[in-house]
Amino acid sequence: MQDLIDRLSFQVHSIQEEFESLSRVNNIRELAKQFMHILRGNLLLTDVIIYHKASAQKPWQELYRGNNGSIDHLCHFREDKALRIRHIDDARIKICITQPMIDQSFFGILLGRKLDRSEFTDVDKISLQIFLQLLDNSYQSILMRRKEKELIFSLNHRVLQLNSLIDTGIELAKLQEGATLLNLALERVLALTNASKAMFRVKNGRLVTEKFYYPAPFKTKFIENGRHCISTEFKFMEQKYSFYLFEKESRKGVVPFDATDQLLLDAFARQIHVSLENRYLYEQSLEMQRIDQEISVAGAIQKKLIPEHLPLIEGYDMAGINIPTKHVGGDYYDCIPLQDGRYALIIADVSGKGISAGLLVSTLQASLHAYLDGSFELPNLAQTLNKVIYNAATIDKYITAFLAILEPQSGELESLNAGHNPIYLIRKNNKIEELKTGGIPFGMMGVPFPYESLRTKMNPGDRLLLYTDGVSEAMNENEEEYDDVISLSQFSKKTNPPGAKDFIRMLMDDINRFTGNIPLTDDITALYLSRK
Amino acid sequence: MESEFKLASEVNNNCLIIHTSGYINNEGGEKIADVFHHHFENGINKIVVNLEKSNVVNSIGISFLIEIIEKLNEVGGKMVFTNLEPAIEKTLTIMGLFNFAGKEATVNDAIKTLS
Repeated sequence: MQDLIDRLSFQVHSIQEEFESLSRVNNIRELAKQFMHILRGNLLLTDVIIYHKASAQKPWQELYRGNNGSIDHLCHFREDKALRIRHIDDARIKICITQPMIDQSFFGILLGRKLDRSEFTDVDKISLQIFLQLLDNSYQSILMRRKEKELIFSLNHRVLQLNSLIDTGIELAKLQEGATLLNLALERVLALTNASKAMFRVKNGRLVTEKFYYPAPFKTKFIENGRHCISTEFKFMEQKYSFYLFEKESRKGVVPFDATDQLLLDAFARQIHVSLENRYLYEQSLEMQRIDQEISVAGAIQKKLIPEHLPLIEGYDMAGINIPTKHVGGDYYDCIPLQDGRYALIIADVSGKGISAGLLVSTLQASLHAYLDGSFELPNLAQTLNKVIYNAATIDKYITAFLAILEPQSGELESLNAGHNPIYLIRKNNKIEELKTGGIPFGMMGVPFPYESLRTKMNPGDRLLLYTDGVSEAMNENEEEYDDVISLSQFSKKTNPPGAKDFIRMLMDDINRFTGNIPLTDDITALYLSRK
Repeated sequence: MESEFKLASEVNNNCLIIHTSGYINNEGGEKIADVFHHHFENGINKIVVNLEKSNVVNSIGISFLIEIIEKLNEVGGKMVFTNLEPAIEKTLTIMGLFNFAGKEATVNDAIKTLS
């Protein structure tokens, strides 16, 4: 009895150690090897051969063979749902075990005879049952660890997908070159979805403008077949961007893409779309900055066209003002001394504003300076200017202008109004004469127009007010025009300060009072000449 | 950067050095594993993987690398990755490969580490 107790006690102790050693193994081949040692050590066997099959339909795989020699007793295995231990009458193999496992796989174990050639005792049979239970537990432990590894791998892969999505978004936001941007995104999404190949295509209508394959060019008939392929597309600036992923890989071959793969591909495409939009807006803003700079330069050049200082004419006082509403205005005034001692007074207003208007002002100014140098008749000069402006301007552009030639000593004044608003000659007795004689605006018609000039005289105490419609049509908050409410002619009559500059200042103050906080919508230009 | 997978290998100082180029996917991973097993059976258990010309790797390719690392760990061997482009280094880090494998700037550095 004591002997049995000692044996059992020894076996319990060794079973504990054996379970610990079995639970440390990482794969079933190692498990089979350890298990073989346990069986041989405890039951003192000649042979132990261990097989495994992944399922009832799969073939048996030999995991471990204790002794040399070919022993094939696979026919003795029975793949049932329960453990089967069969005794066999064979020279070398005595017991055949078929053990079903939790994952529908099977262990097949062949045990040889005992070394002392004795029969298997009841204790041996009980021990064998315990060892088989140990095998089952250890196998489950391996499966658990494998599942744990797969779970960690899967979680890491999810983290990688999220991380890559964020990283790629940041890299795309760095506004790289278009093709690089698309390549980068395609490579990333290909790797994250385990696609074996990928391509993108940019089409403008039916024309393919860009194409990229990864890892190498392949026939696009895959796209037509649509098998094992996911795609997404978006439109931007008349171009269609299409992205395709093909053949999701697994260790067991090609598998279908899942919903997450489609989500990832869509997310990457959205990032590219946003990045392309941002790049476009960035380039637009750079272009706007460049245009603004050019407009500023053009404005500075145009300011030089407006005289900084008007010439001093003996017996007269003169002042002018020009306030453009944009960097480059469409108004112009000047007083040009002529070689014969006379002076040319000019005020002009180009239809529209901005760079194109500024260019026409520049053309007018250059032409005036060129043609005023020699002898001229004012109507002929007007005809020439009409032709020059017509040839220089687009069909919607023309210039209204008022030209006057003043002989300062006599006060003789020859004027020509080319479609400009009436110019006021305010006599000393406050009677106003409107100088309207002239013709059509310059550049309006390409045929010679019979311009007419008007001859009059500025006597001492007379005043001349040249202005553009920015003055007369300045608006208040009720959308009323200055000339309709205040009357520029009435203002000119009652406002007669001693200096021309004062008149201009008082006119501007009056306009500002009238318009209040309403911003100017048109350039304001005025030239005022008074004879002392 | 190469896109289609290619592999070259050499043995230096009892270390297997694998130079890859292109996409490390199922096909690439298999080729690496084949070369590894061939030399592993001949007793080589120090591996350097030079990824200078590979900047894209998917999880199937990574699973092959993990298997190789596990096999090496069982026999006290070691794998070292070199010439890692930042994106691929981040990928391998997140997937946990550097818990059991090393990384060095160059192949020579890796050989010194393994010697």
